[in-house]
Amino acid sequence: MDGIVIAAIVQEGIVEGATGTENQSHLISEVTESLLVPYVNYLTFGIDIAAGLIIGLSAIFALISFFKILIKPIKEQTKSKETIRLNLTRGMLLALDFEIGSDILKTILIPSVRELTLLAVIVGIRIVLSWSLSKEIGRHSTVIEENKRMENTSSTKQNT
Amino acid sequence: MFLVLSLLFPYINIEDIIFSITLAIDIIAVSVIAVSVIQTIYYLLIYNFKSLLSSAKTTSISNSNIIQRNFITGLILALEFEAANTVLKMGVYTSLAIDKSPSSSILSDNFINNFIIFIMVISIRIAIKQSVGRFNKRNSI
Repeated sequence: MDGIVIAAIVQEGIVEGATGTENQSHLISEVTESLLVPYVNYLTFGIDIAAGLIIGLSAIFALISFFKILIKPIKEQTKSKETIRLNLTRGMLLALDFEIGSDILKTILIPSVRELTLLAVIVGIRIVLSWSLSKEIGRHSTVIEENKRMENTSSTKQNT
Repeated sequence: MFLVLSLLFPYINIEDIIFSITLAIDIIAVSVIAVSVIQTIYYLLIYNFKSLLSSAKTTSISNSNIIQRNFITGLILALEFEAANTVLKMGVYTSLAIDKSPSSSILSDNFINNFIIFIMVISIRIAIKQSVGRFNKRNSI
Protein backbone atom coordinates (compact mmCIF):
# COMPACT_ATOMS: atom_id res chain seq x y z
CA MET A 1 0.00 0.00 0.00
CA ASP A 2 2.75 2.43 0.99
CA GLY A 3 4.84 1.28 -1.97
CA ILE A 4 2.02 2.17 -4.33
CA VAL A 5 1.68 5.62 -2.77
CA ILE A 6 5.43 6.26 -3.02
CA ALA A 7 5.51 5.03 -6.61
CA ALA A 8 2.62 7.33 -7.46
CA ILE A 9 4.35 10.32 -5.86
CA VAL A 10 7.61 9.56 -7.64
CA GLN A 11 5.82 9.06 -10.98
CA GLU A 12 3.98 12.34 -10.49
CA GLY A 13 7.29 14.04 -9.87
CA ILE A 14 8.81 12.55 -13.04
CA VAL A 15 5.78 13.42 -15.14
CA GLU A 16 5.75 16.99 -13.97
CA GLY A 17 9.44 17.22 -14.66
CA ALA A 18 10.44 18.06 -11.15
CA THR A 19 14.10 18.74 -11.65
CA GLY A 20 14.52 21.77 -9.40
CA THR A 21 15.90 21.44 -5.87
CA GLU A 22 12.72 22.86 -4.37
CA ASN A 23 10.55 20.28 -6.08
CA GLN A 24 12.97 17.51 -5.14
CA SER A 25 12.97 18.45 -1.47
CA HIS A 26 9.17 18.68 -1.55
CA LEU A 27 9.04 15.22 -3.11
CA ILE A 28 11.41 13.78 -0.51
CA SER A 29 9.42 15.28 2.35
CA GLU A 30 6.18 13.87 0.91
CA VAL A 31 7.71 10.41 0.54
CA THR A 32 9.12 10.50 4.08
CA GLU A 33 5.80 11.68 5.45
CA SER A 34 3.86 8.95 3.68
CA LEU A 35 6.30 6.38 5.07
CA LEU A 36 6.57 7.82 8.55
CA VAL A 37 3.00 8.75 9.45
CA PRO A 38 1.47 5.24 9.44
CA TYR A 39 4.42 3.77 11.34
CA VAL A 40 4.26 6.47 14.02
CA ASN A 41 0.47 6.05 14.23
CA TYR A 42 0.78 2.31 14.78
CA LEU A 43 3.58 2.77 17.30
CA THR A 44 1.70 5.36 19.37
CA PHE A 45 -1.46 3.25 19.15
CA GLY A 46 0.45 0.25 20.51
CA ILE A 47 2.08 2.29 23.27
CA ASP A 48 -1.28 3.77 24.34
CA ILE A 49 -2.81 0.29 24.47
CA ALA A 50 0.20 -0.95 26.48
CA ALA A 51 -0.22 1.91 28.98
CA GLY A 52 -3.92 1.11 29.31
CA LEU A 53 -3.20 -2.57 29.87
CA ILE A 54 -0.55 -1.79 32.50
CA ILE A 55 -2.97 0.39 34.47
CA GLY A 56 -5.80 -2.13 34.06
CA LEU A 57 -3.66 -5.07 35.18
CA SER A 58 -2.21 -3.23 38.18
CA ALA A 59 -5.76 -2.21 39.18
CA ILE A 60 -6.94 -5.83 38.98
CA PHE A 61 -3.94 -7.05 41.01
CA ALA A 62 -4.59 -4.30 43.57
CA LEU A 63 -8.23 -5.33 43.87
CA ILE A 64 -7.29 -9.00 44.35
CA SER A 65 -4.74 -8.16 47.05
CA PHE A 66 -7.27 -5.77 48.68
CA PHE A 67 -9.78 -8.60 49.01
CA LYS A 68 -7.02 -10.90 50.26
CA ILE A 69 -6.08 -8.61 53.17
CA LEU A 70 -9.63 -8.32 54.47
CA ILE A 71 -9.11 -11.47 56.57
CA LYS A 72 -6.14 -9.92 58.41
CA PRO A 73 -6.45 -7.91 61.67
CA ILE A 74 -7.17 -4.20 61.25
CA LYS A 75 -3.64 -2.94 62.12
CA GLU A 76 -2.03 -5.14 59.49
CA GLN A 77 -4.72 -4.15 57.00
CA THR A 78 -3.65 -0.51 57.16
CA LYS A 79 -0.02 -1.44 56.41
CA SER A 80 -1.01 -3.80 53.61
CA LYS A 81 -3.27 -1.15 52.08
CA GLU A 82 -0.27 1.19 51.91
CA THR A 83 1.74 -1.52 50.15
CA ILE A 84 -1.10 -2.12 47.67
CA ARG A 85 -1.32 1.60 47.01
CA LEU A 86 2.41 1.77 46.39
CA ASN A 87 2.22 -1.10 43.92
CA LEU A 88 -0.62 0.64 42.11
CA THR A 89 1.40 3.87 42.04
CA ARG A 90 4.33 1.97 40.52
CA GLY A 91 2.02 0.67 37.77
CA MET A 92 0.70 4.18 37.20
CA LEU A 93 4.24 5.53 36.98
CA LEU A 94 5.18 2.92 34.39
CA ALA A 95 2.08 3.74 32.34
CA LEU A 96 2.87 7.46 32.61
CA ASP A 97 6.37 6.79 31.26
CA PHE A 98 4.84 4.88 28.35
CA GLU A 99 2.51 7.80 27.60
CA ILE A 100 5.36 10.28 27.74
CA GLY A 101 7.17 8.11 25.19
CA SER A 102 4.07 8.07 23.01
CA ASP A 103 3.78 11.87 23.26
CA ILE A 104 7.42 12.29 22.24
CA LEU A 105 6.72 10.14 19.17
CA LYS A 106 3.65 12.23 18.36
CA THR A 107 5.74 15.39 18.14
CA ILE A 108 6.93 14.10 14.74
CA LEU A 109 3.40 14.36 13.35
CA ILE A 110 2.40 17.75 14.76
CA PRO A 111 2.65 20.49 12.16
CA SER A 112 2.20 23.78 14.01
CA VAL A 113 4.17 25.42 16.80
CA ARG A 114 1.02 26.14 18.86
CA GLU A 115 0.05 22.48 19.12
CA LEU A 116 3.63 21.54 19.81
CA THR A 117 3.67 24.00 22.72
CA LEU A 118 0.46 22.50 24.11
CA LEU A 119 1.88 19.02 23.86
CA ALA A 120 5.04 20.21 25.58
CA VAL A 121 2.93 21.59 28.45
CA ILE A 122 1.11 18.25 28.80
CA VAL A 123 4.38 16.32 28.71
CA GLY A 124 5.80 18.72 31.30
CA ILE A 125 2.85 18.11 33.64
CA ARG A 126 3.25 14.36 33.20
CA ILE A 127 6.96 14.54 33.93
CA VAL A 128 6.31 16.56 37.10
CA LEU A 129 3.64 14.05 38.15
CA SER A 130 5.89 11.05 37.56
CA TRP A 131 8.71 12.79 39.46
CA SER A 132 6.44 13.44 42.47
CA LEU A 133 5.12 9.87 42.35
CA SER A 134 8.61 8.40 42.28
CA LYS A 135 9.60 10.63 45.19
CA GLU A 136 6.55 9.43 47.15
CA ILE A 137 7.42 5.81 46.40
CA GLY A 138 10.99 6.40 47.61
CA ARG A 139 9.77 8.02 50.84
CA HIS A 140 7.31 5.21 51.52
CA SER A 141 9.79 2.44 50.81
CA THR A 142 12.28 3.97 53.31
CA VAL A 143 9.49 4.17 55.93
CA ILE A 144 8.56 0.52 55.30
CA GLU A 145 12.23 -0.53 55.55
CA GLU A 146 12.62 1.38 58.84
CA ASN A 147 9.48 -0.26 60.24
CA LYS A 148 10.76 -3.70 59.24
CA ARG A 149 14.16 -2.98 60.84
CA MET A 150 12.47 -1.83 64.05
CA GLU A 151 10.28 -4.94 64.12
CA ASN A 152 13.34 -7.15 63.58
CA THR A 153 15.31 -5.47 66.38
CA SER A 154 12.38 -5.73 68.79
CA SER A 155 11.89 -9.41 67.96
CA THR A 156 15.62 -10.15 68.51
CA LYS A 157 15.48 -8.26 71.84
CA GLN A 158 12.50 -10.35 72.89
CA ASN A 159 14.32 -13.56 71.91
CA THR A 160 17.44 -12.64 73.90
CA MET B 1 3.54 -7.52 11.60
CA PHE B 2 2.86 -4.27 9.77
CA LEU B 3 0.42 -6.02 7.42
CA VAL B 4 -1.45 -7.61 10.33
CA LEU B 5 -1.63 -4.26 12.12
CA SER B 6 -2.83 -2.48 9.00
CA LEU B 7 -5.53 -5.12 8.55
CA LEU B 8 -6.63 -4.95 12.18
CA PHE B 9 -6.28 -1.20 12.69
CA PRO B 10 -9.60 -0.10 11.15
CA TYR B 11 -11.52 -2.60 13.29
CA ILE B 12 -9.85 -1.84 16.63
CA ASN B 13 -11.19 1.26 18.30
CA ILE B 14 -8.82 2.57 20.98
CA GLU B 15 -11.63 4.66 22.47
CA ASP B 16 -13.77 1.58 23.20
CA ILE B 17 -10.88 -0.39 24.73
CA ILE B 18 -9.83 2.45 27.01
CA PHE B 19 -13.46 3.21 27.89
CA SER B 20 -13.97 -0.38 29.07
CA ILE B 21 -10.72 -0.30 31.09
CA THR B 22 -11.67 3.00 32.77
CA LEU B 23 -15.17 1.66 33.50
CA ALA B 24 -13.66 -1.43 35.17
CA ILE B 25 -11.32 0.77 37.26
CA ASP B 26 -14.28 2.98 38.29
CA ILE B 27 -16.19 -0.10 39.46
CA ILE B 28 -13.10 -1.28 41.38
CA ALA B 29 -12.74 2.12 43.10
CA VAL B 30 -16.42 2.17 44.08
CA SER B 31 -16.22 -1.37 45.46
CA VAL B 32 -13.10 -0.45 47.49
CA ILE B 33 -14.95 2.51 49.02
CA ALA B 34 -18.02 0.38 49.73
CA VAL B 35 -15.95 -2.36 51.41
CA SER B 36 -14.05 0.22 53.50
CA VAL B 37 -17.27 1.89 54.67
CA ILE B 38 -18.93 -1.41 55.57
CA GLN B 39 -15.79 -2.61 57.35
CA THR B 40 -15.47 0.64 59.32
CA ILE B 41 -19.11 0.54 60.45
CA TYR B 42 -18.72 -3.11 61.43
CA TYR B 43 -15.52 -2.51 63.45
CA LEU B 44 -16.91 0.64 65.08
CA LEU B 45 -20.02 -1.22 66.18
CA ILE B 46 -17.98 -4.10 67.58
CA TYR B 47 -15.49 -1.88 69.44
CA ASN B 48 -18.17 0.44 70.80
CA PHE B 49 -20.16 -2.50 72.03
CA LYS B 50 -17.05 -3.98 73.66
CA SER B 51 -16.11 -0.65 75.29
CA LEU B 52 -19.64 -0.30 76.64
CA LEU B 53 -19.33 -3.68 78.28
CA SER B 54 -15.80 -3.21 79.63
CA SER B 55 -15.94 0.60 80.20
CA ALA B 56 -12.24 1.03 79.20
CA LYS B 57 -11.99 4.50 77.63
CA THR B 58 -8.32 4.57 76.56
CA THR B 59 -8.48 1.35 74.54
CA SER B 60 -11.64 2.52 72.84
CA ILE B 61 -9.97 5.79 71.75
CA SER B 62 -6.90 4.00 70.37
CA ASN B 63 -9.13 1.50 68.58
CA SER B 64 -11.21 4.23 67.00
CA ASN B 65 -7.97 5.89 65.84
CA ILE B 66 -6.84 2.65 64.22
CA ILE B 67 -10.24 2.23 62.56
CA GLN B 68 -10.14 5.83 61.34
CA ARG B 69 -6.68 5.34 59.86
CA ASN B 70 -7.75 2.12 58.17
CA PHE B 71 -10.78 3.88 56.67
CA ILE B 72 -8.65 6.77 55.42
CA THR B 73 -6.14 4.42 53.78
CA GLY B 74 -9.07 2.67 52.07
CA LEU B 75 -10.31 5.99 50.74
CA ILE B 76 -6.80 6.95 49.58
CA LEU B 77 -6.53 3.60 47.79
CA ALA B 78 -9.78 4.39 45.98
CA LEU B 79 -8.44 7.85 45.12
CA GLU B 80 -5.31 6.20 43.72
CA PHE B 81 -7.53 4.13 41.44
CA GLU B 82 -9.22 7.31 40.27
CA ALA B 83 -5.84 8.97 39.69
CA ALA B 84 -4.78 5.99 37.57
CA ASN B 85 -8.03 6.33 35.68
CA THR B 86 -7.51 10.01 34.95
CA VAL B 87 -3.91 9.39 33.86
CA LEU B 88 -5.26 6.86 31.37
CA LYS B 89 -8.05 9.13 30.16
CA MET B 90 -5.67 12.07 29.76
CA GLY B 91 -3.23 10.03 27.70
CA VAL B 92 -5.91 8.71 25.42
CA TYR B 93 -7.79 11.94 24.93
CA THR B 94 -4.65 13.83 23.98
CA SER B 95 -3.74 11.11 21.50
CA LEU B 96 -7.27 11.07 20.07
CA ALA B 97 -7.36 14.83 19.78
CA ILE B 98 -4.08 14.84 17.90
CA ASP B 99 -4.85 11.80 15.73
CA LYS B 100 -8.28 12.90 14.60
CA SER B 101 -7.38 16.41 13.57
CA PRO B 102 -3.69 16.84 12.90
CA SER B 103 -4.14 20.27 11.37
CA SER B 104 -6.74 21.74 13.72
CA SER B 105 -6.49 22.72 17.36
CA ILE B 106 -6.35 20.07 20.07
CA LEU B 107 -8.19 22.40 22.46
CA SER B 108 -11.63 20.79 22.11
CA ASP B 109 -14.25 21.02 24.89
CA ASN B 110 -13.84 17.34 25.75
CA PHE B 111 -10.12 17.70 26.09
CA ILE B 112 -10.37 20.78 28.34
CA ASN B 113 -12.95 19.06 30.59
CA ASN B 114 -10.76 16.00 30.97
CA PHE B 115 -7.73 18.13 31.63
CA ILE B 116 -9.55 20.05 34.40
CA ILE B 117 -10.70 16.76 35.97
CA PHE B 118 -7.16 15.44 35.77
CA ILE B 119 -5.71 18.48 37.53
CA MET B 120 -8.49 18.40 40.17
CA VAL B 121 -7.99 14.72 40.99
CA ILE B 122 -4.23 15.12 41.25
CA SER B 123 -4.53 18.20 43.49
CA ILE B 124 -7.12 16.49 45.74
CA ARG B 125 -4.81 13.50 45.97
CA ILE B 126 -1.86 15.70 47.01
CA ALA B 127 -4.01 17.60 49.56
CA ILE B 128 -5.34 14.41 51.14
CA LYS B 129 -1.85 12.92 51.27
CA GLN B 130 -0.61 16.01 53.11
CA SER B 131 -3.47 15.95 55.62
CA VAL B 132 -3.06 12.22 56.25
CA GLY B 133 0.67 12.71 56.78
CA ARG B 134 -0.10 15.39 59.41
CA PHE B 135 -2.70 13.10 61.02
CA ASN B 136 -0.13 10.28 61.24
CA LYS B 137 2.51 12.63 62.70
CA ARG B 138 0.10 13.92 65.35
CA ASN B 139 -0.87 10.38 66.36
CA SER B 140 2.71 9.13 66.50
CA ILE B 141 3.71 12.01 68.82
